[in-house]
Amino acid sequence: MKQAQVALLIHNARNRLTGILSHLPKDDIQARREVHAAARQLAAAIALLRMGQSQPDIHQEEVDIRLFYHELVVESRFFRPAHLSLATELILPPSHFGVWSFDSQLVMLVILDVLQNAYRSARANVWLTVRCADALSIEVRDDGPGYPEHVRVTGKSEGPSVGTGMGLTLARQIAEMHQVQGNSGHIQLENTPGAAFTLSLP
Amino acid sequence: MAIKTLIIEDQDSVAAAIDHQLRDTGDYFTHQSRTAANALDRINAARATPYDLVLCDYNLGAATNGQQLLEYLRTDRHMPYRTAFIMLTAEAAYGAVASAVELIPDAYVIKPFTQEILMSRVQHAMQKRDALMPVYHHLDQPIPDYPAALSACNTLILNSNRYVLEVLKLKADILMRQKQWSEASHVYDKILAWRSVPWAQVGMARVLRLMDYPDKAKLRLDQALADFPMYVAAYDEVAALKEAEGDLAAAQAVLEKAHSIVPSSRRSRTIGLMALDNANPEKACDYLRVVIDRERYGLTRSTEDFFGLATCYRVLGRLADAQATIDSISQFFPETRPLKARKLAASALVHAAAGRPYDARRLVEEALSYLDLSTEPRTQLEVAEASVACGDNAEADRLFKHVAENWQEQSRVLALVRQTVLRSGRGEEGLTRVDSSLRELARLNNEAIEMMQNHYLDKAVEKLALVAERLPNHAMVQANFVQALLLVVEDEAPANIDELPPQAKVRRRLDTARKHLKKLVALDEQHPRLRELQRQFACFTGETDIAEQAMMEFVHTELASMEVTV
Repeated sequence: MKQAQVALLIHNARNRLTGILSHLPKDDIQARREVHAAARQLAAAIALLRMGQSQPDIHQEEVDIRLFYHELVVESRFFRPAHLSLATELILPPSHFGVWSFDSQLVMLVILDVLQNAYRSARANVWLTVRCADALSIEVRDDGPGYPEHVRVTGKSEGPSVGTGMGLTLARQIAEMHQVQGNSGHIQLENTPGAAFTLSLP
Repeated sequence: MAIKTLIIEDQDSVAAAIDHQLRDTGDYFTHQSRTAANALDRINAARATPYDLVLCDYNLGAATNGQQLLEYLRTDRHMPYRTAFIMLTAEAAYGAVASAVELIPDAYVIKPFTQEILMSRVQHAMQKRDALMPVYHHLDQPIPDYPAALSACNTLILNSNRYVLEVLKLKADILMRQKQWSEASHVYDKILAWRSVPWAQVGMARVLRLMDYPDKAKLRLDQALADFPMYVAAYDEVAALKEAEGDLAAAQAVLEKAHSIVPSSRRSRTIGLMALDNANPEKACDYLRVVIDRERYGLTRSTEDFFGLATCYRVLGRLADAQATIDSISQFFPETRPLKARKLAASALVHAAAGRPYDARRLVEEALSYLDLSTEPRTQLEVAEASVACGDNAEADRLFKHVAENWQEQSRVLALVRQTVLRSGRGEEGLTRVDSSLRELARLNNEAIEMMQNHYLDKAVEKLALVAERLPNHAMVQANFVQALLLVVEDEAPANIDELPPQAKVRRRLDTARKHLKKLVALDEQHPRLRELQRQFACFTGETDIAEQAMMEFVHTELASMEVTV
């Protein structure tokens, strides 16, 4: 019951942000960014609440990959520091239906979190690649120093994440909860030599 | 050209912000509604030039939420296919609903949203709508032209349209409506060869059930539920399978499970009425009371909820509550003749249960004066049941036989007749009478067909005229009668048919054919023989729009009788 009340409070807060956004002058970019960041953190709080349930669930819905990619790019650019460049690419075979079934809200939060960590570590470049064939894979790569060895091996981040607060542990949990006919999703951390994070969903 | 948009949002400031964002970005012509009722009025008033886009808040504050409104609009064609529907939501429950329900909007937008995200979703929905317009155009006709829509689907699939999965889904839906089960199964196969998609799994199971492969349907549903345990349409289909097997208790249990995932008034009602049939009036009471409380001002309110609840109370011996429930119906529904008949019959049953046969009989007699041949079956059956309770078995048998004959093509109605006969106490004797009347009907029909084949056309027309007048809801009888009339006209028709006076025999036969052809359209606009009969009729009269005429008459009657309160 308490959990439901917390969720309700968060939703009410998100609703209030809609009102604030509608009153902000269009050219006040900084204020709009702040409101948007607060909204995303509230979304992440809801996600954390969901994951903390005794039986956490994900909501797999049919998602148009091109639309998801487009919005991911829009959101990613919103927080990109001016000195960094972000290269994005969508790889979709021509015969593909262009649709995949996954929890787009949670996955968006995971990727934005990873991206914000990449923005912090990158020297000059960040790459975002979305591929969809037999599985959906989303890769975030940067040209920074790479993952510390113990993080790469254990897959556990040190300290709180700077982004939406999702963190690598939760990212793995969310990936693994995406299951289709016995196959489950996973994350992969590599140094190339910069950090490369890949989320794969069946 | 401006995009005609309806914003359904109960908060003034949010509606104004959306309105502003749309107009700021492009050429949008907007209307706003604060309630579902006002939105319905606007959508109905815009039938001639429908909205291109509806943006609807999930939480509308009153009895109806956005999902219920969407389901109401998309079923029974209250809103055309060409209108894109986007759901705006800040609801915690939305995610669970979105991944569980079968009927989803063209897009969701989660509050608070930036202008970029809102416009991204709107533009995507409009692009999809434009891409699928060749199909929608045929589906939005007064009578949907399914063959043309299928052909448009095939063209889009061949051209590798970006929304090909959506096109395949539409194609499967159309094939299902056309009862082309085998072709529909090929479409589902194609999708499932790519990936396990919940709606395709359930669609395939539905095809297998309808093709009479219940075991294969069950295996398919087991797979669907293993992959998508929250997908409620799969439970609904399992329940339909159990019901087809006659296992109503199991069907009810499955529906209760689905209800625990996504409670909906439609499901509560089905469970309530099913529990009543399963001799579980306490549970039926619980579910029906919930529906009545939630829906009394809602979109999908139904008199069935009230009559069902009154029956529960009567069975439980709470006769005052039963009568109060019957009396309360008039507060929420207009007093039509069929409704009066049913209320009188339900009251008669209460009086009979209270040991007042004289009062019961008086009410039954009054109820009978409100019935006609086409009065919907449940009302006629309730009057029949009340007749038995008053000891008038002859009247009851007449009604049972008429309902069985008139709705012979609908297995659900036939099952309802049998159920009511047994519940009323007419028992095996009543069932035997119903069965023999159905055999008699088949014999009459076969004789008429034989006469047509042997070219005794006048006699065939004579015989079928009687049956067609007596059974206005029997599509096959209506089709046979029109066929017989057209054969006679063909036989007798002089070359100058147009120059004959209106009272000439041939002209009168064509008038009768027109009347019954319209009846056939109203009964089943997709009846497999309709197009051929229409073609033959047009050969004599030049009228190619009989079906459209009938449908427009039907739509106008429906609109005139619509009194929705939300």
